[in-house]
Amino acid sequence: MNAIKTKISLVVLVVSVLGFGSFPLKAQESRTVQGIVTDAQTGESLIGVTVILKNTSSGVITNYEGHYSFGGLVPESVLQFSYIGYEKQEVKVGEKAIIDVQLEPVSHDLEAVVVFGENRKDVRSITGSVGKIDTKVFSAGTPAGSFDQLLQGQVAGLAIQSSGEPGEKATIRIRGNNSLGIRAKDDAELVSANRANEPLYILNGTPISSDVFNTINPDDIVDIRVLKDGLSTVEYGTRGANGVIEIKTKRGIVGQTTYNVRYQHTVKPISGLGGISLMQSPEKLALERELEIVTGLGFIYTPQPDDSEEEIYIKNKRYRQLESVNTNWLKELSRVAQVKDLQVSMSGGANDTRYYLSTSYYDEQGGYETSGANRFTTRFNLDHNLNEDVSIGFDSSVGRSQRSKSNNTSPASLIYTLQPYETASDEDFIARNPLENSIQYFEDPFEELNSRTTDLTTWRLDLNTNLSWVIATGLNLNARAGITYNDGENNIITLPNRMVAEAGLVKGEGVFSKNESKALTSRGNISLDYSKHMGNHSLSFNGGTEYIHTRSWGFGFTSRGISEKVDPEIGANPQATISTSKYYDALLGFYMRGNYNFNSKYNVTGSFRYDGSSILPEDKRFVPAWGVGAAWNVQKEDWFEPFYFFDQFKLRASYGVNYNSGGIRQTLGLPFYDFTNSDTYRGERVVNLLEFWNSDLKFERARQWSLALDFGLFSHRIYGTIEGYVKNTDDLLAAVDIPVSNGYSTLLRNIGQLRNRGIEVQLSAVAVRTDDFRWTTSLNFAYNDNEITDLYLQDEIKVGSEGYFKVGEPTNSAYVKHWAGVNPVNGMPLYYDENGNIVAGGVAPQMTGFGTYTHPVTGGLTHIFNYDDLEVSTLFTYAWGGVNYNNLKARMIRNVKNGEVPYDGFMSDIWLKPGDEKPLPNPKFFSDTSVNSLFVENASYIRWKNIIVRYNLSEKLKLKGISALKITAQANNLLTITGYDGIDPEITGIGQPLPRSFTMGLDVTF
Amino acid sequence: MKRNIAVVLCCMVLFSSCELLDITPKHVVSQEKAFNDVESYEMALNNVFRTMTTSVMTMQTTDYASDDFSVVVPGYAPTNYNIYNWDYQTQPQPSVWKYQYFLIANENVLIDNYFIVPAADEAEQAKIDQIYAQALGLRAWSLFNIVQLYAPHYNGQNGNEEGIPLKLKLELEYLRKAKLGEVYQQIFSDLEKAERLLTESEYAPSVNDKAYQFGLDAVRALRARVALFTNDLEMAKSASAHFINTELLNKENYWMLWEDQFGSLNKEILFMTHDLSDTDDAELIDYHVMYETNKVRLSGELMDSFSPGDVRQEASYIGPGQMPYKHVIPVNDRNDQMDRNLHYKHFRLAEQYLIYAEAVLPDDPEEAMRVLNILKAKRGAELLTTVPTMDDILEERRRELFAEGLRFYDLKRLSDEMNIVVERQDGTVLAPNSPLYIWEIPKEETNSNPYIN
Repeated sequence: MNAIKTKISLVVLVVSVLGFGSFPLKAQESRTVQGIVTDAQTGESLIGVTVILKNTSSGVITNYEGHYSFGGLVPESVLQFSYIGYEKQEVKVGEKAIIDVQLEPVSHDLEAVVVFGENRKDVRSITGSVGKIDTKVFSAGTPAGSFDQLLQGQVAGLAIQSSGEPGEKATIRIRGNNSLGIRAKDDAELVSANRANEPLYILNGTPISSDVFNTINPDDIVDIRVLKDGLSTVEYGTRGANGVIEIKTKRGIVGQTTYNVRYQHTVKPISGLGGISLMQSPEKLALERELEIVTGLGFIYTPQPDDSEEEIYIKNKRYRQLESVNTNWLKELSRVAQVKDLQVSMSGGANDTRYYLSTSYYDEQGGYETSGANRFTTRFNLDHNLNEDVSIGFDSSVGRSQRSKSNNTSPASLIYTLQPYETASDEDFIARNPLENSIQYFEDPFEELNSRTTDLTTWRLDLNTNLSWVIATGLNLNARAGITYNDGENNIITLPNRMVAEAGLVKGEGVFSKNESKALTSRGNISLDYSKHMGNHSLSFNGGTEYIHTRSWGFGFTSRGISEKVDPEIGANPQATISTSKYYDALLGFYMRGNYNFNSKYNVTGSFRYDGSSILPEDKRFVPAWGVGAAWNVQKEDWFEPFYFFDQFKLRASYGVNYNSGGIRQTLGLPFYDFTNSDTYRGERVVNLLEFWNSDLKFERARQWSLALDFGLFSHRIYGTIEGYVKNTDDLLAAVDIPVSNGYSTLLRNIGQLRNRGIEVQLSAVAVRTDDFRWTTSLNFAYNDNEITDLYLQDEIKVGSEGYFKVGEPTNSAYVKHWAGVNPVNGMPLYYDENGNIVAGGVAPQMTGFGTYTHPVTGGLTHIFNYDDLEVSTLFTYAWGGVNYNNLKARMIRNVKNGEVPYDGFMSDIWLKPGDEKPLPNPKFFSDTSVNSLFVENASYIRWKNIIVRYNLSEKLKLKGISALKITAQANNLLTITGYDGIDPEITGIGQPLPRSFTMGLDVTF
Repeated sequence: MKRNIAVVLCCMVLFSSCELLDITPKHVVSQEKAFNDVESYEMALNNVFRTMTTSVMTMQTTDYASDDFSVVVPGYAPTNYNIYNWDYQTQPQPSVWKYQYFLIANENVLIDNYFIVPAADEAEQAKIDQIYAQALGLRAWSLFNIVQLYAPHYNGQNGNEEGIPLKLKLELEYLRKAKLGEVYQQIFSDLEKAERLLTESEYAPSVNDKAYQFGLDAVRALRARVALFTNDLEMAKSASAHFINTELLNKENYWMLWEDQFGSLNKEILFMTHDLSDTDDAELIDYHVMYETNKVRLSGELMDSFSPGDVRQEASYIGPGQMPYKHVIPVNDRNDQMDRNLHYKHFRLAEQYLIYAEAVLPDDPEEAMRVLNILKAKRGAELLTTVPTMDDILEERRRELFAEGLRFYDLKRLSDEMNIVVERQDGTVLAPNSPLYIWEIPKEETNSNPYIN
């Protein structure tokens, strides 16, 4: 039903966009030509290519998407395309409206000239695996609170699992799980598992944590490179083993100053609960009566044997009244959220100077009154050539992001505790307010939602300078220095709500706590490049050093007793508990890279990095990472001529050894005592052991083989890469269980080895290209097989309640009790043991064999259609082969006895009386919190992620001075095809599915 | 040219010497530095006490396995419900093992570092010794609690049966179960050592503070308790004898026991931990809430066993069909608002009277009657007119100490001798010598310890 509605609204949307202009007549005197200029070898779009009308000085420059648009031409006009490092090309306009040009590099595989750097080829991609994400994804993409949401489905082997909450970051993996992460119910546990598996993020050369994603404006990004193999990540030494994501922001393009203003408005309707619909009043009341849930009105209004006739009459009447009330609490508590996204930028430059300036404001409402996120960022970049040999650059950015949410009971779980027969105007929420002492009392659910709020504000300031100096022919020096300052402020307010006490309702005291955390990172980097050509031989070297120093410190306090008369943030009790923190660390690295090329046919690369880290003890401080690779341009061989339809046929192979510090902290190596504990006992300070220690900790080591074929076909119509890899990680770090008789239950240890093997296919093609129509499509597919190959001296390791590692099994296997159904005699759950015998709950063993929580297959499919001034693009993402644990269902069955609301039709699924053959046990006998196979469901899905329609009106309206006026319409998360029976196959918690949203936007360039 | 590059590179390497990486942690302190003064050593003891203030550290969760509760529902705290059904396997499993060993780790911090704390003079050394002795005593108590639950009852004869891992130092160990005899030997030797070191000199800075220290009285009281539970009546008698001349509160002042822990009249508290529930440090889940979520009702048998006039049964201390108010200060003349009372009173004078009475019973029943009657009189209960039976003593223990985590231990040691069978509504039975008296060691231990499964 919803899907159909969506389709209708889509059609309306597309039609309304098309309706803006009647289709143009082609036989006009002067014509406008547009197109995209790309690198003939790789298919990557080229920014800043000069396009001039031959024999004149009039011209344009390609923008950040590699796109140009040239007006006032006649069919006889000839366009010249030129770009440093590439061969010039001329094209006659003729009857064409779209002219795409593929420029051939002058000299293959070598860094060309060192001016500005935007046109530099990525040497690493010659032999290594470097995935690139198209600029268009960021400039035309979904209005997103954080850019990580935009990466999904873009690069083979880059798996993204979104979070449904606004502003919350997604889980990102490159080529599978490289560490032993554990699926965890507990958030804190999940965070530590994530850290160990997270790739390294580099923003303009500076390492950043994924927490700062939401201070980056996606529209400032010019490209994102994903380093996947062992060789290309060597330059990040001890941090690169999980892969690297490099983010580069826009810099000025020489030419006329262009201004861009963009506004997008998004509406997010109230979403449902995915595959779940909640129980309605009649069924809920009957359920409460049946299960004798003492707090439920269904039970309270049940006539009892010793009731008087009048009592029975009143009870029955009230019961019937309640049956007709049906409140949809999700709707009551949610709102239609609006997202506003405004972006202004300016870019330009003369011969020796160029600049880029942008400002953006983004405001996203969450689905609940108290939740939302906003962001303000501004960025300024300047590049200047002092003379022919020396150029300097400066870039700066300031960003402020704010996030707020209800922090009481999670709003998501509130929905399940509110009864459908209660209404917002009810006086007493019997089921919510059972009048027990010392428990907060809420007038209504809105008060509960608003009673505790969290508000997180982050400021980020980034300053960088760089210098590039051509010392002699072929010898360059590059130096960079910069600082980043982060300032986070987290406020948590608990309003002085009423409490239930013996004497009735009393005022609670209210709590306010504030936590400020600051970090200052300074870094310096200096390197030398040398390159030399001798006939068919070319050589290049690069070597340098890098130092990064991070200071983190913080301050916080918690105070009880808020005065209601002033803002809760200042109305706090002066007696407060204070906490402070201070933490420094440093990293020093030396690196070298060499590259030899023969006749543009054969290429050999070697790379080495020696990294030292202050978090390791002095004797183990330095760790070497290295890699080698080779590439062979087969299409250059004479014998390959019969296969002329290949523009490119390149084989490359690489091997690399990398490291990952995955969660190692300095304090994990030795016993350290915490003197900053804000806890006190009778006014006296306490000192405690900070954490259990392991003096044998080592960095994780990853050794990776990659073998790939890059090809181009049919005169640059198809580009593709097929790649296979084997990645062995040893000295795996995992926080594993230690006997709890030590007083501590987990410890980070090096426990074993695992292997990721996989195949990645990336294809992009211009499926149709006529004079005025173009259809490009790109597909990526990744298959990853993950297996634990060794667990030093052990066969299996159990972690927590559901972590299980076994040699020969994947890391993220579902480890659950094997559900055997419900005993028809007594309604108790039954399980199988290892031998297939039926056993009771308490003694049932957990087992594997129910799939893995990580999808082996992931990927995406993009189509872009261009016709005249209209562009339609759409993205599908898919994941296949993994399972998800249906936490919501599990919770419902466990908590029904406490009065919570289960799904519609639940009552007919549960055992009620002897002889019932039902899939679910009697909830009264079911409180086992351990995981079981009943709730493990196949979570394969294919999702229609978005459709974007862009229409350029500037030609139609003939506005002077405006080079592009685009209106855009977009719909997100339209449709998900899945067999998963929970909220959303991508969501692990009990929250909401990925929200559907609709966007309209206006984009003006002048 | 190339030479120049090499020179430049070498210079860079030398310039960025490794001192750049010598960063010591700013926020934490290494072991040697942490304990180079008495004050810090004492702070580590504060940490032990603070850890004990949380409700999970009290042993009251064991009450669920006893016969004191007649109704328990799973609610949002299913662990207690599982304990009530003697199901120690269903997740979430009881956490006594985990928390008591955590307490031991904190105690071992003090014991391990005893020798590195420098003393400037004898007075300082004495102070260090007092802290160390308390740690030894506390560790003995933790070990006792674990061995009571997770091993067979020790009657002095079965020392060769398997006990529990003896965790005597902080560092990572994979321990086997020690023999039951070894465990108790360790407990007693720790207690003896503690008793030797501790001085009677009211080490505590003030009288008010005394009950907050695990001082000589607490160690004696613990020794009496351990001795009684291991059937060493001689030791139980000698240890508890120390207390029976200390006066109990009059029955008019019984309220002071729970409400006025600092009053000079109240001498009944031998060791307690401070109530942090009104501070920021409060652990929000306390025993009181535990009762509510499980909708606990006290057993009718217990309720009915009080004789008329017994102050312990007064409405403000125990309500029919309500949770006991031992841990909550009720609304009364002195309090207009109900308040949590989480000054957990771990060792009380009355228990020592009862231990003494039980220890002397075989040899001197008259003396047992005398002492028992002192307690009964102070509580307003009907006095004994004939010499007590073991039954009388056990019943009095139950009435005096209910909801304080001792009833299950009593059942464990005496159910065989007195043929006590506990039965649940659904028919499950805890028979004398039932294996259900030995709690199952949690997965958190067995999953990772190759020696215990």
